[in-house]
Amino acid sequence: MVKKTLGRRKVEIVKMTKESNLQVTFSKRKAGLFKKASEFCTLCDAKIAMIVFSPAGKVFSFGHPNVDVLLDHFRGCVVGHNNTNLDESYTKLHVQMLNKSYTEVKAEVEKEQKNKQSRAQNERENENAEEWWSKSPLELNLSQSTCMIRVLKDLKKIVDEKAIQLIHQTNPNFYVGSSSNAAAPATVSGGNISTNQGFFDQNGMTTNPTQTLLFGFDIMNRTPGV
Amino acid sequence: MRTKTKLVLIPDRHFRRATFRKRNAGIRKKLHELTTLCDIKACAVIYSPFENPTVWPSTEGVQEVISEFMEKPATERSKTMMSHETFLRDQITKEQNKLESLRRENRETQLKHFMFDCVGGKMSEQQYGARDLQDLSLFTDQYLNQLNARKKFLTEYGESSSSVPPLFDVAGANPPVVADQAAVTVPPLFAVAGANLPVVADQAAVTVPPLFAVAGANLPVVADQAAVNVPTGFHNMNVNQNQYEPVQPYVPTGFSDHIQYQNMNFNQNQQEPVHYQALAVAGAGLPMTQNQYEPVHYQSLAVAGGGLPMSQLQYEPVQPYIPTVFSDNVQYQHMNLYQNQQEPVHYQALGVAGAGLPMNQNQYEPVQPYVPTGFSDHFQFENMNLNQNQQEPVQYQAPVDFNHQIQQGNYDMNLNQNMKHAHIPFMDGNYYNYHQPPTVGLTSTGHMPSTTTTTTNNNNNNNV
Repeated sequence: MVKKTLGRRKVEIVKMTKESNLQVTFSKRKAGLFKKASEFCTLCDAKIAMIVFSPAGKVFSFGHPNVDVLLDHFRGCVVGHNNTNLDESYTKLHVQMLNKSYTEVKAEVEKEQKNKQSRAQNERENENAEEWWSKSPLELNLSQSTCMIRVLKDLKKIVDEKAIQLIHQTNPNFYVGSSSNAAAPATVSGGNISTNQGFFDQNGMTTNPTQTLLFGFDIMNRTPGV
Repeated sequence: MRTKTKLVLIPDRHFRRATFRKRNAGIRKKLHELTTLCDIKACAVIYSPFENPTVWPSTEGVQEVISEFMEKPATERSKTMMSHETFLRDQITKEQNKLESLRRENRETQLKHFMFDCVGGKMSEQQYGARDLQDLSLFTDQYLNQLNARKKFLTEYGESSSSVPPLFDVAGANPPVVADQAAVTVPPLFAVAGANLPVVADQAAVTVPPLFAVAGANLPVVADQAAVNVPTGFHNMNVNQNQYEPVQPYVPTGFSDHIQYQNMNFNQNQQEPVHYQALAVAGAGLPMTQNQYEPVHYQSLAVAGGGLPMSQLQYEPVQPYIPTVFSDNVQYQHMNLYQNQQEPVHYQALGVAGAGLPMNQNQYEPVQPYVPTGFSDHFQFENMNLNQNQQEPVQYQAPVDFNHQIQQGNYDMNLNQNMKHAHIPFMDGNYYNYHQPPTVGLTSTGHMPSTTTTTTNNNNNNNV
């Protein structure tokens, strides 16, 4: 079957006709080649020297342990065998450590990718039960945006208060700590001030309706008299 | 079957050798593909503990490529030269960046779900720590910025009109959302926060119209009161003042007399035109009487003689010599008016009779200032003049002090008789003149009833 896209497609090994794709292909294949060479050196304890010229004329090289040493060796110029052995031993250890780190990082990357995929799957499963407020902000209209803004402001206020409370619960640890906690009380005080401000705002909000109600009642009382 | 290859040296020597051969072939293949596709030059030299060194593509090719490689400057060669260590280090850096990016994305997705769970009333306090709450707060800020940008965009491009129906829908959906949050997550805080905003909104929607309504209603109400009360108040005040003031300072009989005289004056004013019309019918001399009273005297003077001017001079000083107060003055003025009505007749009589009448007038005028008493005497005197002769003796006999007035009455009777003998048609007119005052006389005959009637009339006028 002939695919419309070039993904996972077998490429005919002939000179490419499109000049625009030449550089991209070179870059990708060069990286893959060097990666394979690296694995080859690790697995089989081989020594490789590779030289590649780019279509633009630049030169790229990969070598283990080193391009110059290996090329000299190839041309029959043997220099300091003992020194070479020492360098080789050190390089082996270093390469082992780097390979270990590389493996760990790749493992974590795969873990995060799995997490991402699982979340995406959950979203697809719950897509039917999704509420209007779970949509992207770009899909909301004016009234929905206004409503959502108000709800989120309330949520943010409550979350800030809860966070401050949790931080406040850990205050004893700060005070028992070392002198480095001198700044901590100030921070906590700031948090307290924020809390007070929050309460003030909340009180203000609670007071306004009451005043409004009283005012309304006064108006209602006055109307019959007048 | 295939398992993840570990990047470590293969311990088994034989397996390592087999892997070497297979991977060696693979690398050669990749080199071939690269050189063919991109039409470039490349070479590789591979050493192994197992075999002799192998080269690609061939020994001559390798030599050629190495020659070109050596021709390059040392800096250029070293800049792009990679060793196994540097290559691996670059690989690790790339993977770490990728990891960081993935972690950030996952974190944002997690926070978004957390936020929407809270909005939907599914938040659980126990699951999250301070750090998570702070992150949620930051994420909420970012999301609010996006929503504000969206709202601004919609406002600018005029979608507010189209969103009115959704507003009602959202308004209907909003309370349960807030209620759900309040009920499930943080009852006290969310309850207050969720309860206030809708309440405030409702109050704002409900109270403002009453405010404007009351503001609009008060002014017309006040205006109505002002329009209704002020005139009423003034009217009442005026009425009270009118009724009250005359009563207090004039509690004695002077008040009633004053009112009586006012009414009598009005009646006289009504009578005078009739008098003049009658005079017009009588003769040509009357127009002179209407226009000017004094010229009449002069005409009479032309007929009678110089006696009339003397009588005028005597008459004028008499008024200021009256010692009585306001009520007496009023009474006196009234009497003057009667005289004015009578005098033209006298003048015409003078024109016909002769000089004798002027002499009678002279006798009459000096008598008035010599009357000792004031009000009642003058009043009764008027009645005698106006009423029939039969009533006069009765009134005179009742007051004992009126001997002098009886004499005056005699003089008046004489005048009346003279008039009857002289002019019959004019006497008819005179009878009309006499009939009108008698009405007033009848009113004045009953002091108390007339006073009551007058007061009642005033009240009626005030009420109307």
